[in-house]
Amino acid sequence: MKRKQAGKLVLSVIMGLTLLTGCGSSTRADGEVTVNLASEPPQMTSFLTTDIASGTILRHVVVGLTTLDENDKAVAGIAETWEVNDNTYTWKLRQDAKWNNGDPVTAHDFEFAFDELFRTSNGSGYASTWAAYIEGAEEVMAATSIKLCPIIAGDEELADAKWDEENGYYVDGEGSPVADKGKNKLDEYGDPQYKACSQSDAEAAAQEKAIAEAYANKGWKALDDYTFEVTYTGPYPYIPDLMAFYSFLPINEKLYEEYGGLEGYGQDADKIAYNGPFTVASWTHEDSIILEKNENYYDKDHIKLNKIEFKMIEDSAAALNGFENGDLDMVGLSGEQYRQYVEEGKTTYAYEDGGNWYFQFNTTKKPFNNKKVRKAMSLGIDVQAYIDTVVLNDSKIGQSFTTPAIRNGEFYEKVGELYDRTNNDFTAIKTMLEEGLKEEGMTLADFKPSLLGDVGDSPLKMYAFFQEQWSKNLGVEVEIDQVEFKTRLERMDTQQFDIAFAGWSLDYNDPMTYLDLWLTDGGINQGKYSNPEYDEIIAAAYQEGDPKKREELLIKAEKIIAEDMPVGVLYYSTRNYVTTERLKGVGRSAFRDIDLRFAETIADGN
Amino acid sequence: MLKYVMKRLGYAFLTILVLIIITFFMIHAAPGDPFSNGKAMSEATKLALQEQYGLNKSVPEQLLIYIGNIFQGNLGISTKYARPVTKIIADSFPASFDLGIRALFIAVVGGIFIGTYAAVRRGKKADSAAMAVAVIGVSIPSFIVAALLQYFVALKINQLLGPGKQLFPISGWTSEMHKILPAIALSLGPLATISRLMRTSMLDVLHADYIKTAKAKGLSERMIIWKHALRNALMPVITVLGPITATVLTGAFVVEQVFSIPGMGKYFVIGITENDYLLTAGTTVFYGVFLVLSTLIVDLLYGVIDPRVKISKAKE
Repeated sequence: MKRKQAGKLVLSVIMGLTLLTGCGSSTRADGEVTVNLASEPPQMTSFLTTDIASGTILRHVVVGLTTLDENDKAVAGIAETWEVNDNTYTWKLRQDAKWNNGDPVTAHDFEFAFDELFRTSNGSGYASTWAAYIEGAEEVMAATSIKLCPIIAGDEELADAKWDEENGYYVDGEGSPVADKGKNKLDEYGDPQYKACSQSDAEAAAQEKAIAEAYANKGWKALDDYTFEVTYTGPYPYIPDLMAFYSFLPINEKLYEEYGGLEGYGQDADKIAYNGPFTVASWTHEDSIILEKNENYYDKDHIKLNKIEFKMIEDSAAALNGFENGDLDMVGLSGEQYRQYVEEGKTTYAYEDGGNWYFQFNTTKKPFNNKKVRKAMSLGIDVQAYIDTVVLNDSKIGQSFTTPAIRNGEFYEKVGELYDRTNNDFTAIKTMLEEGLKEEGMTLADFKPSLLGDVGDSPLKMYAFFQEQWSKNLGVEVEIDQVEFKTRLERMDTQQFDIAFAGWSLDYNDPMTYLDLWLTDGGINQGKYSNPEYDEIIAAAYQEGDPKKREELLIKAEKIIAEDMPVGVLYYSTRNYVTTERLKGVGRSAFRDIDLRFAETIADGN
Repeated sequence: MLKYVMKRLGYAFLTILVLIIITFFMIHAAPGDPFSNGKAMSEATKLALQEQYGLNKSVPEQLLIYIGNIFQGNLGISTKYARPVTKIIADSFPASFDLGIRALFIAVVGGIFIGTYAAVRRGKKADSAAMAVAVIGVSIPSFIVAALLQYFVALKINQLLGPGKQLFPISGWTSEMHKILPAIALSLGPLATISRLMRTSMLDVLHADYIKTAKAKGLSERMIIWKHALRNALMPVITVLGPITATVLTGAFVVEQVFSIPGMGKYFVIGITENDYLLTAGTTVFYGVFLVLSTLIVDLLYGVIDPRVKISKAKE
């Protein structure tokens, strides 16, 4: 009798559920789409943004001086036209662009955004990268740095550390940064190692004055409401591309303050100022962001979608289930999902995301100071087999450090294939390795490097593949060392690694976004590679106005990387995605991860 | 009674204080920098960020400030999300709580029922079947259960129903229907634990003399079990209920991720991987408070379930 009751219960529950559902899966009206953004945008204050998800939302709601069109070309945005005089650009702004409160978008909004970008105390992750490009920006950054004193109670060696105005950190007697040198020592006193220096009133006043002076001499100014002048530090051909980047988006100062400034701006749907094609209608954290067409947008006639819902479904299997259920119009595919779709004969799309994946070698450590060793370790891998068995999509073998995502592959074509990866006979490479080791007084037997990488099962698959290849092809036994992402970065920053598996993706549409990484003092040159010739070439390319000569210099730089191999380029990542048939005109590229500004829906796609 | 509760609350306060101190030192000892993100960032910018978030002070100093702030209801600002931790918890906890309560309900009711049933039918097929389910429930991780439910119960049934119709939504947290599969997925683990405990404890009780007396008096089996045995058999279940409640209600990372539920489970994980000190500390404190309170409530429940337990003396 009991069993029967239980059965009846289940039956009635199911019947109840069926009744409850009634309406079917959500159907979207024409002009409305739902796509997967995959993660919560963590930073929507444009001058602080450093991540792709936030960048995607910003692309749809705020327009900068320039903007990227369907072909990633920088075209007029808020700036209708611009004049170039030496390194000075005069941006002439359109007068019909409006903020959400009705205020016109003016040159002052750009000036304010630039001011805040380079105000060091705001802590913009991109500021030091961009400061090199704009006159006066580095001075502003130096002046606005908070003066910090190391916490070094009783340690004489560090007690005489001096503040280095130019670089903005403490240096010891020899001029090297204290943070690097005395890291382990300082750690004994706990982490972090600095506190704000106590400033006398006179010192505080002096800093105030220095800040005011730096801002007075800055290279960006609103000449009037609709003219914005910026002086750059060189004849960079990619300035219009750069100005489309989210760091340089305008911010209306009045709205910024009204929405809570540094502490509050950009945190909720009603705390973001917008001037672009869409407005942020709602934002449920970790769930979804809904954008609606901005009726006050100056170019609204060209915007065909009325509503975009960005879902934050992190789990790729869940996202694909949602797509197959008809809830989503576009989702990304993992390698395995892509394979499955191809087998089933379904249409998928692909784009190169600009990611370049490579081995980074610690050149401060024997035997990785030897380029033969570095070369042998990177060429000793069958990369195509790696792509076929681990990456599982159509990612391409890396043939130079600049990926083909730059300038639609033009530069990449000119550089040509710098690495010979067609030959699967590794004897010559093994000989090169042995030579290199011998030069460093080592043999294959005592060469036991470790590979530093990220935690997780899928990274382990990649590392295990490399480990096996090194062992099989070169007879090198490599140990795998998996750590948390931030730990890996710290270990790399402090040169506590042999080989690291790392990747870099572009910021702007020029080879320089890759090539200046390997300058001696390059920001992520954690292997401490240094080649004066390389530095000279890049420095010359920075100041070269002639495109032809500049390109020659950059090609030369590429060849040096291929010869020296501070990093061993492996492959360029490709991403795959699917869309419903009703959604057309999706833009996806290395520069525009998701771009629905030109998208539309067609009626009978369902 | 009141004195006992006050005393327990005092202990709870100390426990949480110790928890905060240990957590604080442990997260600061973890390698990695909250502000590094793989981009080139100048030392000056990093220092400015540390100043902004108050991370430039010594750890004991930060701890004191943190404890002081907690009393004002301020858990600091997350370095990853640049939002106040209290706001992050306030936004995400309701979903986790909602999911947890549902899962807990299924687990407790189902677990007690299955456990009792298995005990009564000891050695019979029903017993083996129930315990097989329990073993499966304990051993299959919830992310597999969640993924299977999502694929077969939601997606496949919806596809059978034809385009435009659906029984269970795939993911999200908007309607009642969205909440059923995640609750089931989350409940399986605790359900298995509770049913196994219930079975063991029920078997013990069924051998007790007073049950034999009841049988001898000619009471029906149903009467004996539901009226006399159950109350006594429940005690061990009540004991594990405290920790289970705290775990289930404060966010289940995996189930929330598979079903895209905007709950707080992920913040426990992100706080650690991103070296987001205050997010980790905040969620840990929140979890700690929850755990201590649910244990307290469970201890008080002993007295309700079994009047012989004098709670004021239970802890000496």
